[in-house]
Amino acid sequence: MLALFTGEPSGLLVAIAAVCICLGWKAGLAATAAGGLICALILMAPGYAVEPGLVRFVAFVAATFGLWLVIKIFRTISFYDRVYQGAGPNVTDIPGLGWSAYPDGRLRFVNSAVLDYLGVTVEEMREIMDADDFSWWLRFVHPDDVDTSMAQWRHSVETGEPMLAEQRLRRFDGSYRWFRDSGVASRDERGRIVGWYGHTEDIDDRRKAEAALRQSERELRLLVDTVPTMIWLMTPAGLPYYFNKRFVDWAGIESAKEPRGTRQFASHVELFHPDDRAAVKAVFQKSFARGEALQHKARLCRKDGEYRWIDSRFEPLRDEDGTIVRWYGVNFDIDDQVRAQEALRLADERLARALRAASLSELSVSIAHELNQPLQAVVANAGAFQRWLTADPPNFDHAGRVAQKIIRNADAAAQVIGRIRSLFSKTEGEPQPLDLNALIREVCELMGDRLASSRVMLELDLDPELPATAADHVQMEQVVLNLVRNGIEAMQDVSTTARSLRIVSRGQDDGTVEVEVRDRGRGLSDPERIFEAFYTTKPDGMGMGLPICRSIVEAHYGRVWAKNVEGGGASIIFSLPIRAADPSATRSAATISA
Amino acid sequence: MGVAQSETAECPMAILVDDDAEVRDALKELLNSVGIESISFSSTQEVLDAELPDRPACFVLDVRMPGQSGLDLQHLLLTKGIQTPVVFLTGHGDIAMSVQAMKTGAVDFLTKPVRDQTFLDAVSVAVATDKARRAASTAARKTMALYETLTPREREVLRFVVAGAMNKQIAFDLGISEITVKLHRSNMMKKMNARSLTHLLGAWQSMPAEMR
Repeated sequence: MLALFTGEPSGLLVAIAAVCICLGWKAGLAATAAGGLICALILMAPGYAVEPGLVRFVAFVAATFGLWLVIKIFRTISFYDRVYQGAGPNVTDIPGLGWSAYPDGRLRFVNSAVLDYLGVTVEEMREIMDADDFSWWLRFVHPDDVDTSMAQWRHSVETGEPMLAEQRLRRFDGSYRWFRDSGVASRDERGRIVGWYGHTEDIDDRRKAEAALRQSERELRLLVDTVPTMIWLMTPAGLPYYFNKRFVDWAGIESAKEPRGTRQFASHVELFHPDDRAAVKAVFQKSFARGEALQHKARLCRKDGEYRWIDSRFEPLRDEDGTIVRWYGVNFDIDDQVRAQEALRLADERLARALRAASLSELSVSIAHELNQPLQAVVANAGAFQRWLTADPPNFDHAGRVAQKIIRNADAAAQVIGRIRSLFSKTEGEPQPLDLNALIREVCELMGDRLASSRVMLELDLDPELPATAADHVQMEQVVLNLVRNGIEAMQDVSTTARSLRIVSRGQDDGTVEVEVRDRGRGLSDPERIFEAFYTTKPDGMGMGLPICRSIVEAHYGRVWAKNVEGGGASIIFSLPIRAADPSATRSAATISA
Repeated sequence: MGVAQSETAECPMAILVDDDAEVRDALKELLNSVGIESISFSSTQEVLDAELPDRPACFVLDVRMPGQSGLDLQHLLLTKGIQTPVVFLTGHGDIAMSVQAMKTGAVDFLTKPVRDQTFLDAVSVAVATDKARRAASTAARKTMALYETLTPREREVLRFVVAGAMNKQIAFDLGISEITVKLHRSNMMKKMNARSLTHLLGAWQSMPAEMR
């Protein structure tokens, strides 16, 4: 139209330039500039001067005005296009808040979600973006975050490194929410940064959840650290990797150093008493190998160097496949209990001894009284007898009468003895078939506590082919119990490491079975005498245990003997004939007065 | 004290208390062989129920008996005012028991079986003690009978005399004349059967303390 009106080609050129601009921003601009230049050259050319003055000027102004108008329209339209329609699927369609920026760091574009969130219109946004400075940061970013965020952004802009920042952005209603801002530089083929594209993700809920999680974890940790129990964790390989505070405080472990050992169980086994280490290691290895929960008691070193008894329990934690992922363990300090029990047991023993002694003394008083009466009569009558005989003249009548009385008194004394013997002898039930090995195990179980508290290692060497014999179960139990107790007591004053009790059972070729109880004590000063009644080497012993054993064994047609063992210790052995349960073949147990 | 001597001529005897008949019989035989008479009881109660002879004697007590023990009997006898000496003969004595017996006044504490001579010695000592005791008690009884015959004034004078006061002093204290004192004193000496001041003092001291 302008071309038709002026009859000039320059107007047409302007129109072409506008079309070019619509097609492409930079190319259009270049084309417009080139068109305007060519047009000016044509118009200024002297050969083309039809109406040089006014027309040329009008045409120039019109061209410039048209050009400005086109550019203006283009910019408005292109912004709308970019925001709502024509800017491609890569920015507007991404979920969340999207943006892009110029290489110098100024914002170039934000998507509609950003506008919605911030509560600003397109025009306001454009003004902010065109403001050429960073004022929008101040306006939307939380004041506490703005410095770090801006610093990070500037750093990224300067170095071209990807930007990753978390900051609070103000919503349209004035509240702030956490966002994670990530941006990468877009580069042309020569590697120059042509712009930045970024994505801002709302992480507010996640941040809150994380904070709640941290809080919950802190509480859990506090719980683990404050429960009055030592808690520790081990890897499936048996390396401790966590001790709770109570454990650390108790044992004085430097948590920074652990796990100290690289070998399995090495580090924590060292904390145990040297005497217990082997047992602890064995328990752990067995349990870890089988994946079974374990429980054991041992002495653990406290930080002051005192070894205290602890009760340790471990449970494996398994994942869905049943694979053990870690072991959870607790330790209870039971030292005080153990000591109290020990004291109680000792008190019990003392009481039992006292009772035994008391009943013995009571018994001896009775026996003394029973016997002293006829003896007194004998002595008094004998005195009278002597006096009648030595009288002048001797009175034989009286002497004879008194002699009769002496005989009667002596008979009475003999009867007292007989009564006492029958008092102590007890007739037992018929002998039953007896598995000596089972009996030995029962007794050892019965004495388990005693063995443990006396730190005596028990070693059983029982002949699996041991023939059965017939004996009174209760009596034989008493024999073995006595021998075991003797063995323990014999080792009271030797070093704890050397205390071991060995019980051997074996069948002999001569048709007997033998049971040997061997201790590692000091041995016997006189092996022949120990079976005598009231012979004892113990300060509080009664000297009755072994004589009773001998009575019982002999009542079963067996025999019992003792010997010292090479290398220290004593061995007491009893043998019983192998026989079937036959009531006629037994006799009642001998008496202790035997 | 020649008066009492005729009565101590009685034979001494032992009172045996033991629950065992054979022991009783044997001890009786032994005592018999040295000429000491004895009677025997089988329990504490029998002793308490019996009429005990009034002659020099001693108890031979067993400690452990059915019912009350020998130690109990010792106490009961004392509370009844029977001061006959006690010898214990027991089958099982301990220190506490013997200490208790000796503190209560036992002559001896023997354990069965005791040697015959030891037993006889203990009985002899006990009997001799009882003889002396009985003699002293007889003398006291006699003095008491004489004392009973004195008038109140004579008794007053007696007190002054044994306290060593002179007649003049007695007269002053009682507010009577010295002549009267001499008269009372002479009557008192006659009634008390005292030949001299020394004799009077001896008789006075044999009297029970509460009377003096």
